[in-house]
Formats: sequence, C-alpha cells, structure tokens
Amino acid sequence: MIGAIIHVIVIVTVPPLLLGLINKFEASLVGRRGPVLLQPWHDLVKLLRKEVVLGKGTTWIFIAGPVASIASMWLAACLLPLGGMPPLISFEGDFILFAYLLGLGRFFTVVAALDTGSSFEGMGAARDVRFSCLAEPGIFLGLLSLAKVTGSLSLARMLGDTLGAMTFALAPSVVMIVLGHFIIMLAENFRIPFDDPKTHLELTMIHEVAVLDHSGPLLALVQYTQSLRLLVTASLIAQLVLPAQLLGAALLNAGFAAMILILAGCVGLIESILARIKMARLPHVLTAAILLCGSGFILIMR
Amino acid sequence: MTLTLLVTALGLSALSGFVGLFAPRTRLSDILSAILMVTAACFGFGAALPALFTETALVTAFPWPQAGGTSFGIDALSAFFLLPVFVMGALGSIYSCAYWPASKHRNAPRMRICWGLLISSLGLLVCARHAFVFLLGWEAMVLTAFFLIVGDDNSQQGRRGSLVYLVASHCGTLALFAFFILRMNFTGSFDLSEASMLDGSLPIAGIMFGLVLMGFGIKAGFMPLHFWLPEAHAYAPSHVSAMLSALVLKMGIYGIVRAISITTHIPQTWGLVVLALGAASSLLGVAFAIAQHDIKKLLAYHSIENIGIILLGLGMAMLGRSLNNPLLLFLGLAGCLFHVWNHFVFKSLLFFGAGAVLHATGTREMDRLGGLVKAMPLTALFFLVGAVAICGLPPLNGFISELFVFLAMASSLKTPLGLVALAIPVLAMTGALALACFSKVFGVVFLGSPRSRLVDKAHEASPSMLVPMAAMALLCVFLGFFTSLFVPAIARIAAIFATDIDVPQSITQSFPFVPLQLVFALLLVLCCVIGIGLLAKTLRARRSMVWDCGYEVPNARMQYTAASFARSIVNMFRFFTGSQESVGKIEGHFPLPAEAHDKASEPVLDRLVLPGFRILEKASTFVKRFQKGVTQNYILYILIGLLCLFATLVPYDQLWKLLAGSQ
Repeated sequence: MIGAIIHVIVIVTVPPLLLGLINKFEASLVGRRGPVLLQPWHDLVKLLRKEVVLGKGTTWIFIAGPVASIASMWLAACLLPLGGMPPLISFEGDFILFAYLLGLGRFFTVVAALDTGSSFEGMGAARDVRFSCLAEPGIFLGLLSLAKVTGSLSLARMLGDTLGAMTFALAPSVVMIVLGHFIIMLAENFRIPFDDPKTHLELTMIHEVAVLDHSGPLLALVQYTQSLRLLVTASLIAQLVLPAQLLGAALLNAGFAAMILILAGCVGLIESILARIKMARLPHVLTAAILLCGSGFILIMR
Repeated sequence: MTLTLLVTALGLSALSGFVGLFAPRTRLSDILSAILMVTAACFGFGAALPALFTETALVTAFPWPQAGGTSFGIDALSAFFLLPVFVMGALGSIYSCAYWPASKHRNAPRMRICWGLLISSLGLLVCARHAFVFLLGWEAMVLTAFFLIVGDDNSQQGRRGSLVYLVASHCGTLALFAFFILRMNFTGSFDLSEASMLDGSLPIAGIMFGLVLMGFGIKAGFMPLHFWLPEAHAYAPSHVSAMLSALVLKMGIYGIVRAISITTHIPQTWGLVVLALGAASSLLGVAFAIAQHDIKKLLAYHSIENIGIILLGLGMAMLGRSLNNPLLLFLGLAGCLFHVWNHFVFKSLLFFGAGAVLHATGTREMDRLGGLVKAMPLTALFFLVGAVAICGLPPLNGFISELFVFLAMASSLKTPLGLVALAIPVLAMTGALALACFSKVFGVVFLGSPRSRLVDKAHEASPSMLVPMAAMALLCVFLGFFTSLFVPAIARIAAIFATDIDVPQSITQSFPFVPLQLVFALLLVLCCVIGIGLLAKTLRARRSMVWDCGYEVPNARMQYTAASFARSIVNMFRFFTGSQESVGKIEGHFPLPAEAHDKASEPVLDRLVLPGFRILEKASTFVKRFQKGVTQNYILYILIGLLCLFATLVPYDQLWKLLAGSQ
C-alpha cells in the first residue's frame, strides 16, 4: 500500500524534475549556469493559472487531445516497475497494453492537431504518425526478445529478470536491444537527432508543431505529458540493465535513479554534440533500430 | 424449442421484404419490414443465445428427397456466427428506413426483399449440417448480395463492381463444389459434422485444404483473393457495404473454421500458410487503405486488414492443434472469433457513419469534406468511437481481440516454432498504420474547415440512422469491458474445433480480464476528472486565430488533405500498392495553374485478373467458328450428335462375335 502511494508520487512529481536536470546538464556542458532545477514545475504552475484560449473553429476534440494523452501516459507509467517498486498493475501481456496506451495518446494528439484546420498542425500530425509506424515494430521486437529470455510476458519480469536469466552468450543481443531501444526512445520523445525540442521553425518541427496551438492549461498538460513520456521510455532501459537478483530493494531504487540520471545525461550529451539529422534520413535511422532489435531477437531465438 | 425459434426467425426474415410489396413507395412499407426483421432478430436471439451457452448441439432433418435426406442444426459455432447475422439484419433495416427510403428510391422493394432473403440465407448457411444445404445457403447469399450491391442500376461503376463480385464469388463456389465432391469420395458422406472426419495427413487432404482456401478465401477476401472487395464495397449502398464487410466476409471465415474442424491430424504447414496469409493481408491491406481517397474504399481495404488479423488468430489455433498445445489453441481461437464479432461491430458502425456522410453531402471523396463535426456532431462522435475501436486502442473492444491474437503469437515462444513470433512486429506495424489511417479519415472528414461547398448542405443524420450507430457504439464499449462473459462460449467452440484436445479451465480463466477492466475504468475516470477540472476554464474560453505564420488570409484549401497526410507512408509502400503520383510543373515567375494527381489502383485486379480473363477470352475465340448463325450448321451438329448417341446403343460385343463367328 505504501509502496503503491510512493509509486504514484514518483510518477506524478519526478518527470518535470527530469526535464530540469537535462536542461541543467546541457547548460553546464556549454559553460552556462542554466535555469533552476525546478524551472519546469514553475512553468507548469504558471501555465495552469492562465486562461484557456481556443482557436476559431476548434471543437471539444481539441481539448480531448491533451486530456487523453496525459491519462493514457499516467496509466502506462502505472504498468512499469521503477527500481525496487513493482508496478501497480501487472499481468501477462501487459507490454501490449503499454504500447497501445501510448498509441491512444498519439491518436488523440493527432486528431486534436487536425481539428485546428491549420497546415502546420497537419504537417506535424502526418510526421508524428509516420515515425511511429517505424518505431512500433522495434519496441515489440526488443520486448519479445526479453520475453524469450525470461520466459514471461509481463513487463515486471521481462525487465527485472533479464540479466539474471540470460547466459553470457546472450550478452551481445541484450546490448543490441538496449541500443535499439535507446534510439527508439530518442525518436518517441522527439529529441536530437530526430527533432530539436528547442526549435520553433515551423517546417522543421515534428511534435512541437502538432501541439502548436495549445496554450495555457492545455499546454501545461502537453509539456507534462512530454516529460512523463521521457521518464516512461527511459525506465524501460534503466530497469533492463539493473541486476535485480544481486541487489536489495533499497539499492535497486538507488540504482534505478542513477540509471535514469545517466540516461538523461546521455540525452543531454547527444543534444549538445549532434545536430539534427535530415528529415529524409530519419526513417533510415529508425530502420536501423528495428534491425538492431531484430538481430538481437534472432540471435536469442537461436 | 430452439430449432423452432430458429426456423421461425429464418422464415420471418425471408418474408420481411415481401411485406413491403403491399404499400410500395410509402414510409409504411419501410417501417413494416423493419418491424418484421426486428421480430425475426428477437426470435433468432432466442435460438442462438441458449445454443451458445449450453453444451448440446441440436440437429434436425432438412427435407431434400433427391439427396437422400439432409440435416441442419445449431451448435455453439453456428450460434456464434448467427448472433451477428440477426443483429445486422435488424439494425440494417432500421438504418435503411432513412437511408434508402421507398419514397425516394424506385427499387426499394427489391432491396428489402433481397435484404430479408440475404439474412435468412446467411442463417441457413451457418446452420447447415449437410453440404447441399450449405451450398444452397451459399448460392442464395451470393445472388441476393449481388442484387443488393447493384443498388441503383444507374451507375456504371456500380454495375462493374457487382459483376466482378459475382464472377469472383462463383469462381469460389466452383472450388467449394470441388471440395465437397472430393470429400464425398474420400469419406463417403456429405455431412459437415464429426460423422465425416478426414485425416489431414493424406496428400488429398492438402489439395482439399487448397480448395477450401480458394473457395472460402475469395469470399473472405484475404490477399491475393481480395480484388472484388474494394469496388463492391465502395459502390454499394452503405447498409449493404456494412452487411458485406461485417457478415458476408465472415462466412468465408466460418467456412474455413468448419472445414478445419472436420479434419483430424492437421499438419503444421497448414497453420503456417494461414499465418503467412494473415500477416500479408493485414500489412498490405492497411497499406492499400492508407492510399485511398474514397471513404468506403478505404474502409473496404481495412476489412482486408482485419480479415488478416482474424486469419492470424486462426493460424495460431491451427498450430495449437498440430502441436497439441491447448494454450495456443484457445488464445488463437478466441482472438479469431472475438475479432469476428468486434470487426462486425465497429466496421458496421463505420460504414453507417460513412453512409450518413454520403447521405448528407452527396460525396464519398475525403478531400472535398471537412468540418462536418459542427453539422453532424452525433455522427462524428459515433464515428470517433468506431475509429478508436478499429485501431485496437484501449478501452474499446478492438484491443481485447488484438490482445488475444498477440498473446497467442507470444505464447509460441515457448514452443519449438518460436520464430512464428516474428508476426508480432508485423501486427504492431499494422496497428500503427491503422492508427495513421483512421486519424486521417476522422481528421480530414470531420475536423478542420470545409474544403468544398458540398459541406454547406450537410445536416445531422435522422434518428433512424443514428439509432443503429448508437447501438453499435454502445456495443463497442460493452464488449470492451465485458468480453469475459463470452469466454465459456469460446471454450465450447474450441471443443468443436479440436475434438481431440481438451482445453482445461485453468487456461480459459488465464486471460487477464480483471486488470484490463481496472485499467479501462481508470482511464475513463481519469479523463473525466481532468476534463471536469478544465471545464470551468473551458466554458469561459476566449476564441482567437490559429497560428498562420503571419499570413493575412488563410483559407480552407491550405489545410492538409488526405493525400498529403498519407503521402510519406504511401511512398514507403508504393512498390506493393502501385499507386501513382503525378505533380504538375510550376515554373517561371508567373506560373500557369498546375494540378497534382494521386491515383490509387487495385493491382491484383488490373494486372492479374482482368488480363487473365482477356487471355481466356482470346483463347476461346476459336469457338466462334462453330457459331456463325447459319441454321444448316446447327442442324448438322444435331445430326452428328444423334448419330453419336445411336452409336453408343449398338451392341458392339455381339456384332464382334457375329463378325468373328462368321470368319
């Protein structure tokens, strides 16, 4: 019971902190002091206090977009184990529910973008669904390999027991899957090299332009969902690389927090070093991620 | 008692159309036949529901003296397919009261008669226990559906679509005749029950399986036998398209399931073939769907995708039978059958919605619509429910059946055939493409601003069109939450499908319905809570311009169209879909108007089937030499025929003895 409450508190409060950490790290890499760690929370509170401004011609679907994405993202976060804390809801096959909950959020975001009747949002929506078509098979291939290794179909055991259940010969496959998942994580969160979260040049945005016309409380929901998505997709990798058998619960929590910080650092590092890849090449990068996960799967199946 | 109810239901539905002949061209005839059909549906429910939940199969004699007595009856599998038949019959006739009223359409009496006959022939076909009764129901279904598809005789495309449907269906029926006759030769009976089991490991059984796939496959519409589907669905009236997609396609699936259930020792290759067909149909079906501009053609190609998903489940069930694995069998069969029901529910909802749009605006072209949510709010809401359901998104019913199929494929990891799990990423990609497709349809048709003047006269659909849509939408939500009520029925059908494998209680209870219901309920509650939290501010919301990058005069033509939304995905699949894009040149400082065209064609029809038929036509022109219209030639042919017949009557052996004896 206490564990469940702590789980809920973590997934509600931590995501904007994570975003603040990434921003602080990127700033320190270039020698700036950067914004305060809690800046995203200050921004969210400020946005929530503003009035709602809707575009001319938009309907209730415009509001349903952010509402559905945050609800589905919170429920997806309830399905994940966080360090030593087991997931709130767990059953065989919950990784499929996880992927489809993310899809539900994406559907309503795209439909809300098309509601505005503006070509910018249409462009963002079209790009969003195009890249998700290539990201989905990769995630499923990676999770299937973990299912084969651990012999279980629930996320808690797939992510927790992999390091314990695998033999040394399977290590390269797991490394390939981790790499593939990392690339897909960057794609799903629209980070460099897929999209620059700081740009607002209309023709180069992907996700940012799909939510361009949201403002005030709706924008707060959208930004919060972004940060929660980062935490959720990073936990997939962080939980995977922790050796659950060797550590106790408290050490697992600490290790998980450390892994999330390391992943956030990697994201920040990549954002500071690399530039965004040409839009026409992005499907190739995603196909590379699919091939990485697929090769891992085939090696494990042997 | 059950059988009496069933016969009453079939009889009433057959007669429901004839009632309208007494008061043609009036609303009364529409309402009368709808009432009769609803009554028939109630009787049908009374017959099917008990059969679904009780153990026994009931069989009775169907009088056919020349065939030596045939039989028809109802068991759990028949009842499972019978329920959608009657639901569709009732809702479709209510829908057609407003969509195809007798006062506006000259051929409404014919449509109603054929609708009633179609429903009863579907019921007969599903309850048949003898090959002759089955084929009677099958042919009646094909012919009545043909007359329904033609609809309004005036459109040339409608005639072509219905003719392609008729020829394709009869090619399939030919394969079915061959299948039943071969079966009779090897098992000695025409029965479709356990009395005539066939061993699947014989080579002749492989040929029969091929015939089954061909015959039922043309009707089910999986790739590459799908070529008749898009045109027939697009040009038929919408309630007929709904019927085709929701029920007639499923009769192909029913046939395959029944044919497999009366075969023992199924080799693994059969299951793998069905799996491969399912994977190809689902991926290519949705790739074709995304390239379409016509709402109903898009929905038709989506039916192909969903048939692919059904086949994936069926393939896993067949593999479960071959590997003697009750978990695979149960999960695969549950996925297949629940998806049959779920597809019936949300596809008919979507076709009813598309029909409402067509009725209101007069066009099926997505790129001429837009902003319909303001004129037709309820239709848009129901269409949204259908779109979310068909993408397989929680908390609606599409997710449950897709989860069953996913779990079936994932459970194969523990068996020696683990590489079968490679179908899971294919299904995942299909799901993502379906999401792209339906967000495109809903967004372009209902949202944004109108792209042409056709939207000006749009009005909300009338209540008789809204009631079936609302019923289907409620059914989507109900099945999303309470599919667990029907799991015992699946267990019974598994016993019929695989008589030698016993599915224990532990497996049928193993599907995680309770956590899923919890998650779905939490989802709805969270959405409501956050929505209510925003409600106060939203009611006071200010309206302002949408961002236009500083351009002073944005207009509706600047919105993303369906073609532009789907363009990059269509480019990925251009090799398979054969769609062509031509973009006009814009050159110079004062360019002339240019046009961009995006054409989606049907490659199997245009490149394989029609050229094949043309070659057949050329090859058979030599027959023309015998048919020149000269009467003397025909008399000569009769004379030759008579001489040949006489020649067979000559007692050759006696003649030979006479000649040999005289030597």
